Amino acid sequence: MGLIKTPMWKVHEDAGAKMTDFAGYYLPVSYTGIDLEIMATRENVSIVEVTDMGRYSLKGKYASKLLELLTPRLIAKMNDMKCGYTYYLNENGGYRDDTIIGKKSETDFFNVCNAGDQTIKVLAWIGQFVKIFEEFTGEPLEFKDWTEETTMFAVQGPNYKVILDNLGVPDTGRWEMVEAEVEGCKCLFTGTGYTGENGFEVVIFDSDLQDPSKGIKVWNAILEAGKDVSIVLCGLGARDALRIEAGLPLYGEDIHEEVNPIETGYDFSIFCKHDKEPFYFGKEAILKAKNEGVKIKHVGIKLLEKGIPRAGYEILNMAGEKIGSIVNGIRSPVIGAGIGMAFVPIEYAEHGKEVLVQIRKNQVKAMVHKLPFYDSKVWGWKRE
Amino acid sequence: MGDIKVKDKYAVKEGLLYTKESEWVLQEGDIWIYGLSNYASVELGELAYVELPAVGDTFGNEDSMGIVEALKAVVDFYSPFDCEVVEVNSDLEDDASPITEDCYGEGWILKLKATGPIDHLFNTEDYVKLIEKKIEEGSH
Repeated sequence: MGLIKTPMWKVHEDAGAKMTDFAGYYLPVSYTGIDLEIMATRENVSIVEVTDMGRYSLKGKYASKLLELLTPRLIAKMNDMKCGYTYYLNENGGYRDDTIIGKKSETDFFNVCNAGDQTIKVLAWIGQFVKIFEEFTGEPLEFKDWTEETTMFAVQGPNYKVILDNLGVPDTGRWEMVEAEVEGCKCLFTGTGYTGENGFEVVIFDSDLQDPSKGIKVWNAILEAGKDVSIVLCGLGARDALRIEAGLPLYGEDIHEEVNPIETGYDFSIFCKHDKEPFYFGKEAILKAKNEGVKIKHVGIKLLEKGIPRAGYEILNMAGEKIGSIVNGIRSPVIGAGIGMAFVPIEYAEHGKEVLVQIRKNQVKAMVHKLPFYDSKVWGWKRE
Repeated sequence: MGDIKVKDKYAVKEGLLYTKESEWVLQEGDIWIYGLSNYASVELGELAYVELPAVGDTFGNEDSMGIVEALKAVVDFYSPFDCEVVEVNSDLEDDASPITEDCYGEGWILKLKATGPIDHLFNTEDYVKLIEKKIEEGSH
């Protein structure tokens, strides 16, 4: 079939997962049911394999400087042993990728980028600058792709801390990095995720497709540690729904080479200060977009009638004219409706604006909705 | 009538006739009850909605009669032969889960009157062979 297997594929199969082709990877779409897995993550805790994501390290005197050149984030301002979100832009201000920077220190980074072809593209792009930096500074810069030597899981949901406690690992809180051993296996824990909930992600070293024994050991240790709270196995169907409910972007759909962070709204200007850094790729384009304004905007779309908005469905204004199309969508058990994301002309980007979604023969009433879709006082890591 | 288990996973009910698209029909007098096979419902996963035709609608063999919307996919269901719809299971419009939970019983979708030949349908034995072949082709 040509599908790429991950270190845990046999474990998923044996656990009765429904396996699928997920962007070229042989991964579980669900174990017990997508809705059940979504609710378990929101109300309890779940585990999902995310080894398909790219992982790379950058070490050397000027590692921090290089990342500042490549991203709009002031990397030097980040604390040690802390992760942070940012993005790599092209010269037009479009996204090359979005990435989690893991800063162990000013000279030592362990970062995560998007999966598959994106990993290859981004690492090749960064690699060019590593060479230039080494030449210009005379200082070595160690740049390493860890993707195929490591295994990675995401454990997400309000009860995540029970698992860390039982494993004897300090709390990863929001965005903290913790290096720890589990059953003798070297791991890197980070307080990160892609669901809107608190939780952690863990990278297991020396665990690959040929010898996944360490990954399996840690997986089983997490399941054992999560027994008290009945941790749930989660597939990528739920993971995709969880991130849409939380209003988080997926590379290739919500963010890509052709749209800029002002259009998507995922600019994170609190820590990606576009005008503060002397240079980063895409700076000129971003500042131009900011000053001149943009014509399209990425928004949430919530259906007000029965249906699921799916990629490619047309969005119409109330006069029935086409104004955009859906980029992705799901039926959300948390919201109790079909929800999705889309790009629309700026004049339609106001929350509460009524639109129609063409679903086959029917024009279904919908509205432009804030992100995240849920009430942050009730769901997600900010809940009271 | 019992069930045959294929690969320990998919139940094929004996005594029904099947289409190559994994729909089943059962003749009762001059009416045919119609639904999706267990193989089809398992492969679709959790269902969200169904769109049913109206009573009185007529279809040619293999025409799309309606849609089943699963969480991860949208698929048409097709007429098993030239037919007219005489009854629809409108309960499914509020809750499609019987198709997943009891596809050969509560999850029936339509009742049809045949207006053309039916000799292209598969018997149980041939249908089992068909899905065994599908599983073989789809396996990793």
